[in-house]
Amino acid sequence: MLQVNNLHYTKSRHVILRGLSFKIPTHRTVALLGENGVGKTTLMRLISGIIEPNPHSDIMIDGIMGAKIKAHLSYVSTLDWANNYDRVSDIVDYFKMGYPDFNEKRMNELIKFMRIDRTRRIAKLSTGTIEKLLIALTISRDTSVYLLDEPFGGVDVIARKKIMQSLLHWLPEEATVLISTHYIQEIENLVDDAIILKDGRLLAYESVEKIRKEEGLSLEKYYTQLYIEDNGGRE
Amino acid sequence: MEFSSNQPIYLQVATWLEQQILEGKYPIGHKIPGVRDLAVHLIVSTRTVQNAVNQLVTSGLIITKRGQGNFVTEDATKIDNIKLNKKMRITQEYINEIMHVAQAQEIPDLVANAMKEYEGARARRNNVTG
Repeated sequence: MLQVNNLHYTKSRHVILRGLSFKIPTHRTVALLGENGVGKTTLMRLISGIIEPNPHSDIMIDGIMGAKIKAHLSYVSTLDWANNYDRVSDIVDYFKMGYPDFNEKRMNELIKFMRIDRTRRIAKLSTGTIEKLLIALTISRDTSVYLLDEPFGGVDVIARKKIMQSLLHWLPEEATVLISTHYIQEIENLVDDAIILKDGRLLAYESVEKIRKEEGLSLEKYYTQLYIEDNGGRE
Repeated sequence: MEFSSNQPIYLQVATWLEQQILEGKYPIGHKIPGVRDLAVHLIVSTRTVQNAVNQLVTSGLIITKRGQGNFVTEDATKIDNIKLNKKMRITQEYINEIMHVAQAQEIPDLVANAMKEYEGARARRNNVTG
C-alpha cells in the first residue's frame, strides 16, 4: 500500500505540489495523468526519495516512512549513471549485486520476451530498447510498490504492446503500481484507477470501470471533460 | 480486440469469452486459459478478466475447479440454453431498434423487405463466387 498525506513541494519559490493526499491499496494498478509540467515526475521522485518534500508531508509504504521505504519500492527512471562501456549484462549484474530482491529468472524471461541483446553496449541502444530495459529492470525486483514514469514515451506501437504485455505478465499480482503516461487511451484497459493531477493538486482519483458505468465515458473523455470544467469551460 | 468506450470493459470481455465458448473454441468440459494469459492476450488488466470470468461463472457457463483453473461447463443443456437466450436477446434488441423507427403495423413489411434484400445479396454473392 502506498499512502501520501498532505504532500507539498516547492522548488525555488515555485509551488509544484500543493497538499496532495491519496492511498493506493495492494493489488491495484493506477494511472497517473495530467498535463506536461503538472508534477507527475516530481511526485515519483518524491515517493522514491530522490528529492525531499516540504516539511509535514508524509509518504508511507505498508506503514513504513522515511529512508527505509526505498527498499520497498522499485523505480528506475534512467540509465545515465551507467558507464559508457557497460553492456546490458553489466547492468543486470549491478542490479543483482545491488538489490537482494532482484529476481534474475524474471529478468531473463523479460530480456528474452523483449528481445534485448545482452551483449550490446548501453550507449548503442535505441530509445525504445532503453525504455524496454528500464521496464524490465523495474519489474524484476520483488517489492511492494512499482513506479513507472511514462513507459510508452518514444517507443513504437509494437514495443508499446510488448511493454504492456510484460507488465501484465510479470508484475507480481499483489503489487501496488503507479504508471504516469500521456497515452490515456492505451493505458485505460490496463489500469484499475486513475489519479488526475492539475495545478499541483488532485483533480480526481476514480475507478476506470466506475467512470464507464456511471459517467458512460472513456478515461480520455473523462479526463478532457474534467480539465475543461476546471478551467471554467475553456479548453 | 477493440473495445467500445461506453460499456464496462469486463462486460465486453465477458461477451467475447462467452462467444469463444459458444463457437466451440473452448469445447464442452475443456479448460480455458488462465486469467493472466487471457489478460496478456487481450491487453487488459487481470482484474477485468477476473470480473469477466466471474460473470460467466455466475451464468453457469464456466466452472471453477479449486487449484486446477477454469473449465467450460460439462452440461450441454446449459450451453444450449445460453445460446437460445443469446438469440432471444439479439432478437429483442433488433425488435426494440425497429420499434424505435417504425409503427408496429409497418414492421412485418419492413422485415419482409429486409429479408428479400438479404436473400438477393446472398444469391448475387453466390453467383459471383460460384
